[in-house]
Amino acid sequence: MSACKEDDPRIHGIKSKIRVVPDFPKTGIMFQDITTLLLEPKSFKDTIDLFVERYKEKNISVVAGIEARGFIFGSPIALAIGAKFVPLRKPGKLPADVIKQDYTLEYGNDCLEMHVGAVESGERALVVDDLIATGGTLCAAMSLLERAGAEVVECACVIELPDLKGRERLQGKPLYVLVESH
Amino acid sequence: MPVALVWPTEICYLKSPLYPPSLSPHWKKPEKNIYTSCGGKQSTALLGLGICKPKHTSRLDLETPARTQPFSTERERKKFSKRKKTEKKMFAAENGLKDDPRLQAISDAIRVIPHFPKPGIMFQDITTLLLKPKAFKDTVDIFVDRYRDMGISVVAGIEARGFIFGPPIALALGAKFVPLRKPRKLPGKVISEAYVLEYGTDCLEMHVDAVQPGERAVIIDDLVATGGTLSAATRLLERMEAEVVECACVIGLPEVKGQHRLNGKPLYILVEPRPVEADCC
Repeated sequence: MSACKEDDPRIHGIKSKIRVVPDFPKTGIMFQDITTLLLEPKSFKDTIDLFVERYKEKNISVVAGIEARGFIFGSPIALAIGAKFVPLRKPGKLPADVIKQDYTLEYGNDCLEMHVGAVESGERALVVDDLIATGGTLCAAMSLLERAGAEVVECACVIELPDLKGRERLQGKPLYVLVESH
Repeated sequence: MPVALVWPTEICYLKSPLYPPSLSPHWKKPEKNIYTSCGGKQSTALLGLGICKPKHTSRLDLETPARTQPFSTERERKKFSKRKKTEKKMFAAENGLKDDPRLQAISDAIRVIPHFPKPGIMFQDITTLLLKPKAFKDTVDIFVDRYRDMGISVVAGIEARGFIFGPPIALALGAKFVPLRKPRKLPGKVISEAYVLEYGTDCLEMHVDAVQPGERAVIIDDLVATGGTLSAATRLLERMEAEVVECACVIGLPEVKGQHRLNGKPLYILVEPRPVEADCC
């Protein structure tokens, strides 16, 4: 589900601050640049507030953020709701023992890692990233948390690209986004 | 004919008998406690020349600017001495937070991983700090309390662990958050700054429209070692005419202890690395 645009006046401000950069990283891709949103303190705060309002009473004990833009949104959300923050990283970055999850990209594979012991069995977790496209990365993130015994309550992203049908790839897990971009 | 006296920092006076300082019209008897760029007192024989042998010549960005002339007045000397004393307080425990229990909890929450990413390196792992909501919040609060009344409009965070600490600080201060990233990650027009690693070089980038001239900025990272990355970050912001007020890190390695500034900028650090237990390796 998306946040209902008519209900919350903050959504329009957030959407208007996101910059679209054509042909990055390659021709034909319209890149959704959230760095311009981060330059507007009120809009950045509104973004975080919308997530915090949704999750603060949901007994979430873990917020997992996907490297690197997921860190920017996930960390303030974790702090505000009093949850742990767990970074999910590209291979070779986390220094201690990790569990890995491969996933497919448009061309080739990639891999996401999480520290062993970061989450405990039965914890309720949120996965945060700036954007969902095909859903491959979010799926890998959910896998990691579930393999560690956590329950993924929801995936939360600032932006969804609905045309890429990432929502369907989440196998029934709820997805909450603030803006859609077609 | 007056002698134009040049006092290079690395030539020993004793090797240049042609220009004994006492015969020069420009020489003044040095005061006792002149600080040189080593930050320590030198013998009075060398004081007047402002000579020292800096310990870290390969890491010039960590040195304070060398004084190449003696102080002309007692007032100037006292002012310089006083500045040096305050500059030494880069660690939070010496800088207003003595015995603050939060610092001990933060230090205890950091995990040390030996031999990562390569043998000999004791990696300071902050992910365990992030698993303790109170200690993580205290870390952010200490920085926010420090910068709240300093008119900071920009918090720049260095990829990727600077993206964990920087945004909550920016939000609490009502400042912009500017990510400084590895090459080819930022989609818009960027400026780049190269910096030296132990082997080879790396590069940091920033969007050109991220900061305006005159904005006051702090730079955040999880850890400072040699200061190379923070120096590159400082240069990026200064190239766009922002003013870097301070660089701030959770952890400061021994290389930076004993230095006072980073490229002339103040450096603020919460904790030192935890010593590793004897049986860990």
